Amino acid sequence: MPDDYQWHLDGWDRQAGRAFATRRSRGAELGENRADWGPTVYIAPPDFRPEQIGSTSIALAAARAAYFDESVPPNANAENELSFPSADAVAEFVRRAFVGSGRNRGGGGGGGEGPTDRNPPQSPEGERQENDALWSYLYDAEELRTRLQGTRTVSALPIPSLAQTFAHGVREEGIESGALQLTATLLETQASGNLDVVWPSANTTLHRAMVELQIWQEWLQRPDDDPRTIRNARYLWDPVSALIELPVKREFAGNNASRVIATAHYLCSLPFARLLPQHVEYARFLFNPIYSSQYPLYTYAAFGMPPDSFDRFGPMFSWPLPAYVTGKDRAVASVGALLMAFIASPARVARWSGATDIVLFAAALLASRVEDRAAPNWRGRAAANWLAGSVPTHVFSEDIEALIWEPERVREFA
Amino acid sequence: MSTDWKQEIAGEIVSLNLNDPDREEFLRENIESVGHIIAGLGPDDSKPGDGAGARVVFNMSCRHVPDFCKDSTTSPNAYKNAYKFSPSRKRIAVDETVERCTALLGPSLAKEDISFGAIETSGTGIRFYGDMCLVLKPPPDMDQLLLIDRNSYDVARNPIGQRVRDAVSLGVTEEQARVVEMSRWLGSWADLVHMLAMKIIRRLPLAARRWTTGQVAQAVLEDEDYCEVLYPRSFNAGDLAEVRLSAADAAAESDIAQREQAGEAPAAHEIAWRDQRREARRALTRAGVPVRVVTTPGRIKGS
Repeated sequence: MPDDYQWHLDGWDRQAGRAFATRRSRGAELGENRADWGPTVYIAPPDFRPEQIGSTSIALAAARAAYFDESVPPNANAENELSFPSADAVAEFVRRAFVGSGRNRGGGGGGGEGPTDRNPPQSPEGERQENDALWSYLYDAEELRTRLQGTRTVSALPIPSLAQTFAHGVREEGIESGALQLTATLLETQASGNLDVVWPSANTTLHRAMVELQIWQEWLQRPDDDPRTIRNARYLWDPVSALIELPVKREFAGNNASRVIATAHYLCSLPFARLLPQHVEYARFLFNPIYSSQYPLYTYAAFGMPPDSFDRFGPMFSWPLPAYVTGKDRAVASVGALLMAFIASPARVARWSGATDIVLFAAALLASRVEDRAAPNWRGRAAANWLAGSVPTHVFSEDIEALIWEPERVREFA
Repeated sequence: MSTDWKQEIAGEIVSLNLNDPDREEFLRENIESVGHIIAGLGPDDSKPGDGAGARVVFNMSCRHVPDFCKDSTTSPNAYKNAYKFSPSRKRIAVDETVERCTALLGPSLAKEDISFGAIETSGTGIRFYGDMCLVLKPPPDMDQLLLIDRNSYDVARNPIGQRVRDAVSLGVTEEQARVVEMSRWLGSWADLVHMLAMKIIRRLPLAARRWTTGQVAQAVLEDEDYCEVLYPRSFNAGDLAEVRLSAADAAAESDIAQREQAGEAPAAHEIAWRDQRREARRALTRAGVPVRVVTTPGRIKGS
């Protein structure tokens, strides 16, 4: 077999994650059956491991199905057919495109409502943003991409040592920032009256996630003067005050910080489908220093502790994203969609302000079964653990990366 | 020009030269049992079991099942083949040969109208084409359905491909040569018992023992090897008897679900696939199509 033969797709169903690929000459037709061609492999979910098949007939006949492209791009030729250096690289391409196609699923359109001038939160005062495992991963990938751009013959390079890179965990502060952004967005959406209509069950399921990751517990226990409490309260101030319609317009004051957090917690933990006037009234009561100093701001029962097992991924498609994220790509309208978009193309999504922190929050939730929660940075280790098994294992040339991100073509009838 | 399958099997038995009346007697009994399995009859049954027997199946990825169910609410032609979308396929022209061959046994079928399926007894179809096996109810014109005893693309692969090229070098057109080859594999549903017996006889032991139901059923469709059905039209969810899922996929799905719900880091592609499977099952439930995990492949289990 000549060494210059690379792998090419002989059938590809992007949305289903199914493909056939052969080591053969570029632009050739599988039916030519050349004796010096390599094996044909089949790739499919859930494991996306290339599986050698005995007969190319099965690959040829697959293209009779409505959603199979018989080459990539369709009607490929010797000039433009996508080539891959290994079957593993093809499988990674198929996997990422499959995951990326999930970013169109669900959603309710529009993203977070309310003020459009809101930006992601700043770091708490006095805290420096350290580089973490995800930063190292993205940096390594970028280095490889630069190397790839210097060659015209190589279309993919594997990213080495993923497990090692992610062993040190990601920034907990990133996860907290993600939680904060989602909480603010949920409150804004609630204030706009769209929550029940567009994002049913978002309140309940996001609250469960926040409790599972012990975010609310920590926020409510932190002292008033903790820089993180002040940062969080300042960030939540506008949506909270808009939602409870304070009789007199007030500016955020640092000594209100705990009450802002407690009120936000109450509004986000409602077991009711709709926010009724009596809920708003009670929230105002919580906010009032005269009353709230006499009563505890919360009870343990208010956390509604999540059961050991609950559906984590599905509800993410009901969590609205802030407008500054959905503005980057209208197809990415929910946290679930953002997560899938990030795995398809981390370098692209990492450039969207605030998006990575939301991804880290979702990643931590998907891997929250951590043995030792008393150890430092347990949420950061959980998120890193999930990312290590999901982020791209290869970087590809620009044309392949572009195709992974490309929206699904709408197939027109002949 | 097409094959007389009954005669073919008789010739095959002779060519086996068993030299043992006992083995030959068992072989004839075993071939008869293939007929029973195709008809959905158990060893002592006189009536076919409900849901048992040979069926026409189409495998589809779970991702496309919700769209199929949705389209089924507005059209009897929800199932589409690729020709409905893309008239100029660059593939080798095997389906043109298929069209020509259909004319040998009746009215010619156009490739745009053919739904390419497979024969299945109690298994889950051809996994390479999708993880959900759509099982058709027996259509009224079942006996007229046309079959090819293998994947029709085998006509373009060696050794047949080489045979075709040799014929072309002697002055025959490629299509004529392919039609000659493919017509030998052609039959109708009425030929199914003998067609499958020819396939099975080359796989199962020719001893003085009865083939088991499971052995026969597994030999009918094994991995990449199947018997093709040229279903002459489209269909929708209302035409389905059930959708079958493989036990292996169900186990993988359940493992992913368990890890997802426990927060044990299922990977992005795993949860995306599991999510698609769940959506597909919901769509099938809404469409009133029963879904069944086949836990005993190769066995006939009436519903």
